[in-house]
Amino acid sequence: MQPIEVSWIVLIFIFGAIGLVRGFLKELGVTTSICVAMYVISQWLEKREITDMALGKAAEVAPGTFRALATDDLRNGLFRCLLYVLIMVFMVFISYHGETLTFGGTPPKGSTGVFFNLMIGLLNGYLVVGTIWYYLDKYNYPTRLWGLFQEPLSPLAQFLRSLLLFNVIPASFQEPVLLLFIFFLVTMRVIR
Amino acid sequence: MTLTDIQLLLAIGVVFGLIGFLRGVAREIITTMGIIIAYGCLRWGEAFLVRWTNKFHKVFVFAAKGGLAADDPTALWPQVANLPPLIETDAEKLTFKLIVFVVLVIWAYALGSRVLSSRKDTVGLLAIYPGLSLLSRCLGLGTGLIEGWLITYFVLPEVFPKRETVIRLPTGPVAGFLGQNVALVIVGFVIVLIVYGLRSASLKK
Repeated sequence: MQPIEVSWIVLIFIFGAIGLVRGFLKELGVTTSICVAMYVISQWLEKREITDMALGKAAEVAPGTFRALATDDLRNGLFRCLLYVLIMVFMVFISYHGETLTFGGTPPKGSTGVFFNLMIGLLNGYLVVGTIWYYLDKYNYPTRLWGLFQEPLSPLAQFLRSLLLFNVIPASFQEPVLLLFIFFLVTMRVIR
Repeated sequence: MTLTDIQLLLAIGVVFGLIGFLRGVAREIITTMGIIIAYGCLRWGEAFLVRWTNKFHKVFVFAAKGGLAADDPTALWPQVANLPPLIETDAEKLTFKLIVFVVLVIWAYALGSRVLSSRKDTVGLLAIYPGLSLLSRCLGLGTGLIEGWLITYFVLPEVFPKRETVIRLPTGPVAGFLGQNVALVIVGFVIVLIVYGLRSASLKK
């Protein structure tokens, strides 16, 4: 099993490679949908506790199936992390598949183009994989139930964890920062 | 001499913002990447750099004393091997780190100018690149401010680990301010990249 920071770095570079192939303008559309997914997860499912409410209702309706998910911290965390991963994958998939959010035009050419393609790919990787790592960390790595996590985190992993977006932005600023950033991206899309 | 934290931050902002405004966003983005790489090199590679600098120092002393041309180099090597390391104490390590950082930052600025070389007018120490659009200059100003933040964020806690020095430099509040605004800097840099990237992209299909 790889240390989590190795997986994180490798995945980010894979996103970077995807950015190189797809180009800056298409990847910018992906950035928009990733930010929307991050907003939904952090502000609705987490902050406004919609996941908790849904799990509570499900536990009332089918206690045999959902009671453990609602009460056991580790199983609850695992369920949340899987749900958030699915939401992220879904949003990334629809933005990769569709054309609606793609910015029009031709991406920059030459070394400038390579630089911007790579940077936007790395940014998308940082947002997607960073968000997943953040929630794995928040819920005490529930993947340990499947034997997919080993403590302790290395010093490098601890440092990288401090750079995750939701660890960098104070909790009270997360909503305005995400909303303003989505607004900025949509405005740039409309202006073009 | 007493400086307030606002004066200190303002001075840093004016210097780096002005440089960014005059150089334009393209050069400043290259420079910013160089500064981030310099920060990463020293953050994770300090022990490696110190160890190899000490080793090369001994090799250099060995060569300077004629070891390479000596009939019996092994006779000289024990003397050189017993020399104290060039960089050993905390103060020496700090000096070494700062020198490497300054060299890398200067290299990053030179690289930005070199990669995108064009005619420039000089006024004293300042290089002004004519012909840049106002948007490019404004984005350059923003990137310059980010560079100032990055450099200060690295240098200040290293050089002034205590909250105040004898010249009453309020490094505590400034370091606190810098530490609280990591998110703004990241978001700011991403916005500059996106705006400049869209500006560089053609509107034609």
